[in-house]
This record gives sequence, structure tokens and C-alpha cells, in this order.
Amino acid sequence: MSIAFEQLTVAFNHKAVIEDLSLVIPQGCFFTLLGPSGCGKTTLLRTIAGFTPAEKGRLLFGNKDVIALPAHQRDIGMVFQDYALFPDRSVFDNVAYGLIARGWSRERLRPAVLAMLDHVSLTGLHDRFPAALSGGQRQRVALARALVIKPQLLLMDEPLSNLDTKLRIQMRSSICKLQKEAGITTIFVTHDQEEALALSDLIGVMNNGKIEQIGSPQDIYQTPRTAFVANFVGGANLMPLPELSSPIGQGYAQVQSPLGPLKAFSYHQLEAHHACLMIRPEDINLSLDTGLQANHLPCRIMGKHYLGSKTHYDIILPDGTEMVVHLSGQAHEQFGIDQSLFACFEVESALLVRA
Amino acid sequence: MKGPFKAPSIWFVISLACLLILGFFLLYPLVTVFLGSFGRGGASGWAMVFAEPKYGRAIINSLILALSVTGFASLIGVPLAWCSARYDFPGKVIVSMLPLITLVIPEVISAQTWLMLLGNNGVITQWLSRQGFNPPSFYGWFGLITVMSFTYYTYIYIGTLAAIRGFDIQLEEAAQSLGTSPLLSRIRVVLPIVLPSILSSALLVFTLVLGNFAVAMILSHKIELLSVMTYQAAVSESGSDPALQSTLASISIAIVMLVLFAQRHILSGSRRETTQGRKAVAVRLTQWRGALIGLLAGLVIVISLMPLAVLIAGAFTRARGPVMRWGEWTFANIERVLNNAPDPLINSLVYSLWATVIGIVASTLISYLIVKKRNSLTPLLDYIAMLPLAVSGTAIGISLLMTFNSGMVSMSGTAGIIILAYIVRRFPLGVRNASSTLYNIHDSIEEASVSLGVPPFRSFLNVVLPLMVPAIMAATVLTWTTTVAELSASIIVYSGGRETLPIQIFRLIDSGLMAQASVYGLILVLMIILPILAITRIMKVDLFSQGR
Repeated sequence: MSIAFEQLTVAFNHKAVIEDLSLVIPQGCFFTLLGPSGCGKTTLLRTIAGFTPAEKGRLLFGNKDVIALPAHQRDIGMVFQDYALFPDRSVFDNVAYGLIARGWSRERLRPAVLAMLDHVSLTGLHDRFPAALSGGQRQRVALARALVIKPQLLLMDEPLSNLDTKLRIQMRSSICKLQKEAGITTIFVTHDQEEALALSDLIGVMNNGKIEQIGSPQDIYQTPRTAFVANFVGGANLMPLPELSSPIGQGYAQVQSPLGPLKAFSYHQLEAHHACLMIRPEDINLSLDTGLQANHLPCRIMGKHYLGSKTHYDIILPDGTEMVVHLSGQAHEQFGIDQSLFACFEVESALLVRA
Repeated sequence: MKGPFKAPSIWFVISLACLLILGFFLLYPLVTVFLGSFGRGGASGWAMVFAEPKYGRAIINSLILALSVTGFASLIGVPLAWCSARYDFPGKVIVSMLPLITLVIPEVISAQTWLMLLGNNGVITQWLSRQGFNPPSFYGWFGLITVMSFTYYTYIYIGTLAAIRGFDIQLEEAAQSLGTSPLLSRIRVVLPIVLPSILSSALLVFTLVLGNFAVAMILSHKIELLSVMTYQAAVSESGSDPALQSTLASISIAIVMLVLFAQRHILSGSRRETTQGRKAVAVRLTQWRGALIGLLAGLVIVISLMPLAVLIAGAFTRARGPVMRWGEWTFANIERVLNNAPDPLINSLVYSLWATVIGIVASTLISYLIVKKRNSLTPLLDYIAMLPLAVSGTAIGISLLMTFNSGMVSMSGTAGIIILAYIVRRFPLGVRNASSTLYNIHDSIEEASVSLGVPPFRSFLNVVLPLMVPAIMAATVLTWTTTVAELSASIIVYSGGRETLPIQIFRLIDSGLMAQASVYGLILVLMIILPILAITRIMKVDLFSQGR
């Protein structure tokens, strides 16, 4: 089932949290709403589920407008951030709950529930109560409970945020696998960019109730449209370009930075006065001479942090701009604090984005 | 919720209905009392109160009493709480059961049993005078402060204990690592964080003393006290004066409201520590220190449990009129009460049962509205539901009697007005209990059920209500125990033939018939203690997990 929003507006406490949002999510897609806390992503998810009413606009499940449909008739599987398992029911009864609500008989639902528990690797735990489960197990019960009703749409509200790092990565791949097998259109809410990049077919980066950019993980990371997206997904060095006076089209561009002319590249149309230069930390090289790359800026090393597989450098440019550089390999090991060098980068790494 | 013209939701309609009902039974009587104080045609009650110096003296005496009792109760409760939170000593198990004592022993019974020991005919008084000592009279300040301090210190103990237990021990360790000595770090770091809880329970005790009827009435003798005068104005045999009694009730309400306002201010000003961090591990005290603390704690426990022992002894002791023949055991008292006058027992059972059932259903519904179905009316609902906290039992009795004596709803002389008085007095605590349970049940559980295809109301029945059952059972028992022991409001609204156990006990104490009073007292205590034992031992429900 495909999902579409048409000019959707949602208010919370008389303040519009989401305004005029239009968006289409294709059938079977794993769609992630990524954004900082308070950006409206959970509100949007709850509007889709039917818990938060929309002020205006349409919400289409397939061809059907469901905006007036109460939550319990929307046929949605939802995984809550705190799992919301029924504490007084066993794992089996938790998973069976939705099937009983659909009028399944005990004999009919038993194999379905047990098969689903097998599917999420909880074989043999059906008699346990939620309190006797680990965080990862509870998470999988919540997932099984949402999937067993074979919903048209699966919603997940930061389902991994209460787990430790190792478990999170483990659950990430099992969620990915289960979703692909079931082929259910899924909307996943998170503030963790790595999670979003690893799981999604499509990512919508949200900020202040607006979706700043929609695209595949590669699009979002490699060709960010705005400074916010660039900074939120992956971290970025941003340099404002005050002297830009004319609109910029797609392709190569020569821009005037405070430190002289730079050769840059733009994937998007940009209006004048609203652009800045973005360079990923791993796309900058430090070298003793101006090197072979298209751009080079004099800089000084302020800090050096050895992280094993790579080393992070804090550098400062002559105009006071601070940047972060990630270097791997050993060639740079002799660089030390206070050393003056050149920060070099290619045209394709110097991206123009909306400020 | 869709479009500008929406029909009011079903929950809004229910809220409105609840608001009207609460307004009529809780708010309207209080307004009636306040308006009544200005007199109808006759003299204003305020003029009478300002003209007679004895009323001013009564207010000052009441404040002095409340302050002294709060002070002494803190002196007992705070150290006891500290010791039982931080140390392990012989007899600690019994100390941890102290909260039950306040529940099990109604105030009227503690006043009675103290009198049986130290009153003019008391066992100890008589023994002392046989030894040639002439002990001071127990009536008056000495008796009032002693009995009330040992009645109310548990409130301070409970409040302080919770705060000390919730305290993050790492803060104390941080202070010590920064170079303050253990004692100094307790004073500088622990005390400021625990203090708001102590103050807040102390203020509760202060209001309870101000409103106290049973002990004040039995022991005050010639000392003028506000609560006693209010009662006397209401039931005076020379014809009660509506203007005067409502003025006195208004004054006591105003004082308590002022105190509660101060309490709220104190609580909102403090950033209360959440239960994060590490808890202190109780240190085992041995040798003389353990023995000393065990002994002091033991003394407090013995004094707290004394009423029970005296009650049992009194019930089985032969008596001729007011004279107790200590040492001569008999079943005659019990036989006489059960054969000739079991009415108070039956009245208490019936009235409390009704009050418990109605009170629990109503407070659960209202809490659900306040916590889970918030709308523009629910804050007002919350506020009105909490109002009776500020009103002493005597004032509630007066307000109900004045309002429902005649007019639209006439209940005077019926069992209904007693049941209503029970419900009103217990209502704020019932709502508080149920709300704190509901706050602990996440909305997402209900939403999970809805998202799985179960309609909202069925979801509430399916997943929320079962989770509330233990708390509802605990609240039922707490409501039962407090209504069975209720005296100060019911003694004003009851009429002949509708005596409850506490009323009957009070009347017997007044006539000096301690043996019979002990029998009724014992029955009352059993009616309180048996449900508590049933629910905590058999059903394993923690009575105090939800606050009081």
C-alpha cells in the first residue's frame, strides 16, 4: 500500500507543528523520518496512526482518504518507543491480542502467533511475561505483535533508542530483514542518522515541521540540499558565502569565499544570498604543500584526536573558521599541534548548499 | 476534532456531568457555609466572633497546639526515619510496620486508651497516687500534646523516610570527596534536599491538629480550642447558631487553606530529586550503638502500640459503671454489647460499605478524566476534588448539614447524609491514589491496543483497567478503613438511631464507660485490621505503593 500526504497540517496546542506537507511513499518502501527531537516527526507518525488529529489536508492509504477514520480501524501495526507491551499478559497473549480483536479463534491464532515468535527469534519464550525479558526481547515482542496482524502499514517510533549500541546494530539488521520479507510499507522515526542510512529505502529529513529533503540514503549523504541536512546527516564543515550575488544553477561554479576564489559544485538550483559551502571532514586532505587538488586553503592544527582507524584534526583557517578533518592511513602521523599546513579538497567535494 | 464545528466529545459531556455533581456536593456546601457566616437578617457571625475574646483565645490556643504537636511529632518522626533508612538495628522490622499503626488505631481510640492509663481514673494515675505521688492532670496541654504527637508522628516518619530513601547517596559521597566531613555533608547536602518533604509532612500534621476533633474534644478540658468551639456551636443544646458555626468553620478553613498554600509553595520551589542514582545501603549497627537506637525505637513502638494492648485489656476487664476492676477478667462486656446494642456495628458496616463503593467508582472515573482525557474542564474538576483537603471534618459536617437540611435535596436525618460526609472527606485521597496509578500507566499501552484494532473504550477495559486493579483494591481498603473510623463529620450530621462505632465510642468515653467503649473499639480495630491483613497477606497488594 502506498501512502500519500496532501497539504497536511497538524497543530499541537494551537500551534502548527506540521504545515502543508505533501509527500508520497511508494508501496513496500522503508521510509525514515529523520530529524532532531521536537522537529515534528513523532507528531506526523501519530497523525498517520490516527492518535493526533490533522487540522486539514488529506492522508491517503492507497486511494482511500483515512483522515476521518479512527485509529483502531486503520489497520496499522505500530511499534512504540517504550514498546508498550501489556505487562499483565504473557508474550503469547501480547502477540495474540490483535488477532483476538480480529475475531480469530484460539485454535487458529496459536500456530500464527508461534510462527511469528519463531520469525523474530523468540522461540520458546511465549510463556514469559514482559518483565522477565531483556530490552532486545521486548523490542522483538513489540515487533511481532505489530507484524502478526499483517498490517497494511508498519509504523515505528524510535524503536531502537532504548537499546544499547551492540543490540541496536543487531536489531537494525533483523528489522531490515523482516520488513523486506513481509514487503510491508514501513515508516520509521529516528533521530539517529546512522540508523536512517543503514535501514532506509527513502529518508525524509525533517526540521521545524518541514521536510527539508527526501531521497535515498546516498542522495541525502552525498548531495545534501541544505546546510541543515548536510550537518545533521554525517557532519559537515560549513563556510558561509556572503559575496554570492547571483543564483547558481546545477554544475560547476567559481565562488568567492572570504579566503579567495574556490572551485565548487552544485547539485541543486540555489538562490543568491542563500548559499554556503559544505565540505565533508573525510574529503579534506592535509598536506605540507598546495598539492594537486583544485582547492587549497592555509590552515593551522588546533587539536589532534587519535581514534585507531582514523585521526580527527581540528583546524583553523586564517579568517577564524574552524573545521574538522578526518584522515586515515599513516602518512600524516608526523603532523602536530600548531603546525601550519594546507587543507586541500576537490571541486566535487566542495558542495554548494542552501544555508 | 475535524473542522471548526465539532460536536462535544463524549468525554467532555462526562466531564461536565462530573463537574456539576462535584460542584453540587463539594463546592456548593462550602459556599453555603461562607455565605451563612454573614447571618441571615440576624447578627453576622463575624461580629460575634470579634466581640467575644474567647474566640480569639481559641484561635491562638489552636495555633499553639498545632505548632507544638508538629514540633514534637517531627522530633520523633525524623530521627526514627533517618535511623530506619540508614541503619540496621535490632527491632527494625517492627519500625517498618509503623505506618500501619496510624491506620489501625482511630484517633478517638488513642485518646480513650491514654485516658485509661493516665486519666483521673487511669491505671498509672491510681498506681502513682497509691505510691504517694500526685501526678499532674492529664487533661489540658500535657495530654493534648502527648496524645497528638504520638498519633501524628507517623505522617512525618513516612514522608521523611520516602525522601531519605529516594536520596541519591552519590551526592553525599561527592560532598565528602570535595572535603566536607560526613556530618557536615549531611547537613549541607542531604538536609536541603530532604527538607521540603519533612516540611510538607509537618504542614500536613499542622492542619490535622487544627482540625482534630476527637482528641481535642476528649482532652482539652478547660482549654479553648477552635475545633471544639466549632463543634459546640453546631450541636449546642440551647439551639445552634448557624451564623456563628459557619463563621468558626470558615475561619478554620481559611487557616488550613493558608497552610496548604504555603505547602504548595514550598514544594514547587524545591527541585525534587528523582529516584536516579544509587541508594544508600543500611549500615548494621552493633554493640552499644545498635542497642541504644534499638531501645529508643523500641520505646516509640511500645508507646505507639500501647492503645491496642490497653483496648484488649479493657474489653475483657470487669467494670462497674466507670470503675474498672483491673485484673478481673470477663466476657460480660462483649456479651452485653453484642446482645443488647449491636446497632452501631451494623450502621458502621452499612454506611462505610456504601461510601466505599460510591467513593471508589467516582474517584476512579474522575481520576481517569483528569489524567487521561484532559480537556478544558478537567483542571477545574481536579481543583474541586481536592477542596475537602482544606476542610476539617467538623466543617464538612456543618456545611453538609446546612446545605442539605432542607431545600432541593433534603437529607437531614437520613443515612444518606452520613454516607455523603464519608465520601466527601475521603474523596481527595481517593482521587490522588487513582491518579498516581494512572500516571504510571503509559498512554502508549492504550494506544497499542487501539492500533491493534480494538476501539478506545474496549481498550480501556481490556488493558488499562486490569492494570489498575491492585491499586483499586488498595484504595478500597484504605477508603474502608478511613470511613469506618470517621468521627468528626459524622457526629455532626448523624441523628438518633444512626450512631456509628466511633460515635458510640465517643459517647461512652464522655460518660466514662471505658469497658464498653473498649469493646466497641476492639470491634472497630478488627474491622480495620482484618481487611488490611486480607489484602496485604493473601492478595499481596502493597497498600502504600501509591502514596496515601
